[in-house]
Amino acid sequence: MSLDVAIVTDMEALDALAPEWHALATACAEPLATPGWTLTMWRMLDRDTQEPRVVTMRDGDRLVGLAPLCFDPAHAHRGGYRLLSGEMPRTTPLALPGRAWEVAGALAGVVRELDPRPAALALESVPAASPWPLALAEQWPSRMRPWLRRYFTMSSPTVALVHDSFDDWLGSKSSNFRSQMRRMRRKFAQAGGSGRFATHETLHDDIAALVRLHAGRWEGRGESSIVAGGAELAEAFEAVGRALLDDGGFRLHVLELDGAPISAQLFAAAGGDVIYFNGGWDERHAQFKPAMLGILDAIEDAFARGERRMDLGPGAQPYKLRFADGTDPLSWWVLIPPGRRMPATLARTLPTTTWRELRTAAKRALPPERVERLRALRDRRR
Amino acid sequence: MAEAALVTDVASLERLAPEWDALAVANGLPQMSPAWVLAWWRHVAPAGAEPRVVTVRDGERLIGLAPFYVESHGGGRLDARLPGIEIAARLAPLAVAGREWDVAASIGGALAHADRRPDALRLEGLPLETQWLTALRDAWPGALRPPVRLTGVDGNPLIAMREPSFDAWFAGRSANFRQQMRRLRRRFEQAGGVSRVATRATLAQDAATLTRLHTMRWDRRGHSNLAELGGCFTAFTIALGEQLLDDGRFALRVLELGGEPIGAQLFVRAGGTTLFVNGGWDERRAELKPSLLSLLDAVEEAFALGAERFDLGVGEQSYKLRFADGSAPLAWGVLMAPGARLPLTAARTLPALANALLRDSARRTLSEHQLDRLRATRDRLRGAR
Repeated sequence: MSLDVAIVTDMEALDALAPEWHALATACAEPLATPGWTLTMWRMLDRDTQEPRVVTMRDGDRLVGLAPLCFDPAHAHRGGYRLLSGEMPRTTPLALPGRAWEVAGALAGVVRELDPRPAALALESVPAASPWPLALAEQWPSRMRPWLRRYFTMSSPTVALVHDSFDDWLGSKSSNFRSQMRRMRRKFAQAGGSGRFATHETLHDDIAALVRLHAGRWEGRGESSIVAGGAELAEAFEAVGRALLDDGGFRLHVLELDGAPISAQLFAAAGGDVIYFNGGWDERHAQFKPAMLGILDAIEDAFARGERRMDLGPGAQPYKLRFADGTDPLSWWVLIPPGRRMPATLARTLPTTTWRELRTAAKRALPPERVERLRALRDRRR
Repeated sequence: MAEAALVTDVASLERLAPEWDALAVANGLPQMSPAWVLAWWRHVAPAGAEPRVVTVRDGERLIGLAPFYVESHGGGRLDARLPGIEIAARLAPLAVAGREWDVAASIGGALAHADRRPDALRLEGLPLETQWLTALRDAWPGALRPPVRLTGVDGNPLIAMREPSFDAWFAGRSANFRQQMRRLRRRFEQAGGVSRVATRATLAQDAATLTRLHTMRWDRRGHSNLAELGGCFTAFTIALGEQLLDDGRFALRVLELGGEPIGAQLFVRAGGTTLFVNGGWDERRAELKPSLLSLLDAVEEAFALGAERFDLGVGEQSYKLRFADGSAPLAWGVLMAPGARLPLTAARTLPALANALLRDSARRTLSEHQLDRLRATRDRLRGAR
């Protein structure tokens, strides 16, 4: 089974590839790896800093694998590759089920043809169960094995939507959870609150509300990519929304009180998997627990659509853990091929990877209260 | 909240069978089912092996089970292993989907605090598509993460069974494959051949046939675990069949010509997975290609039963690759428990790691032809032993 490999670099060809790419991401149940998300976010936000080298692998006419790689043209000489728009919470190269190893082999076989020649490949925020990093290292065409390091792993709580209905699922949760959720919904409804998903008509305003509420929530609390992204990110979300609202690939849930949004939460979906991207809520209405109400509505909606799993996104915050019944963690990897550039590449990547590993080691070794104190100290310095 | 318990006697394991089997089915791992593992304990387990089975419950519900056993090596080193690598690979702990990390933490906790704590977890034929490699390491208790070293990765071809029927799958294969398979079936029928699966009445005889044909096939060809197990493998197969035949989860397929068996292959099922365990055939009938014919019948049956995945087993032999449309590779390695004995464990693991490095370097630097010659020499040396 030898695969035909091609490297796609220009915008027109990428656009032409989008339908097949979308079908592949859907078959892999990877909502944020669809071109509607990846290509749009790249086009709107990262075009100057990421030059695409999208590698396609075909078995006959059929697209069986796709690796949306890119490099920073300002540092092309460094040969540092990563996944296109790899800042999103869950990104991955794609392969039809059962073909990841073979597709990774085909990708590894073509790396020498990439221009610039790769000196490092970062796979960030890929599922921890992904065979890609090891598959690439094992099949990398070099006399020496590449240096492969997993330097960070983060929990991503999940909800299995395996029950017959939302009511069955709710019935399976603890009585404490059920009564709290019912009480919260009742209280919110009695206060005149309502929940809805964004439509094409409301999209622009709803995204503005998302960005505003998220920024308000993060003020004085540290860094947030949505806050940093500002108006450009809002435009990118709107573009993704316009492309994916109709097929349910983009869902923005809004809670309103007296006609004003008090919470907005963004979800992506494909192939039966829904992922919670991010959100924000108005702290003046904390008594309604808007984040939880929004997720509850999104889970009910996912059941109605017959979806199989909701991924609550990276980070094991307590409100997510109230819903979760599992986890599908994400890992950060770097692969450095052997060669004369290896020492320089290692020198550049080691500070980042070592820092992350030290943090993880500290979390394991120190008591939780010391970890909290360190975190508070870091946030104050920031 | 997950709670772990350690089971250290085989009798207690039997009581867990119904809920344990449900987990094996949900994970699509027939080789981790109680029928398989208990048959292994009765007929294959090495002398001195002691069960260290970790069960993990969330309230009453069994959410994970890792049927480890421990065995001592020289210098008092205690290794924990999953049972059955002599017979089939793809060995992994079982867990409810999404709970792998909870279960991994519980496994680590239970083994790290056991009376006789294992120095190392041997990872043998661990599926790379799962989270275990990462989860066992990251969720291990204590301030230090246990070092994990891989010693090898092997291909494991599979049929993804995406097509709605056997006919649709068959039509999607190459013209050459279709033509050859049709010709083989026709020729076998014309010669009066019969393909059947073992029943309770024929189980013992068919199991012995499987062992005999497998052993004949491997005679002077190198090393085969099953040939080495001999009668123990026959007894294992019978015990497995007695447990799984009535549920339609055990198929010992026999090809006969003139009443004489010329091929036998063993398949087991759990959930949507059919696993090809192993087989053997009579070389005097090589022109009929019994292994291809039997596999074809088994694939047809798997489609009829609504299977979602046909696992062709570890090893990328060319006859498997004729059928395969995917692969789910397996890893071999070791997880070394942190502690005072870690340096000793690491030192004892060094030869295996050096061997792995050597093999990897050979694979990367030598041509296919040179590798084949090396493999042939190795097999001859093993056969001579």
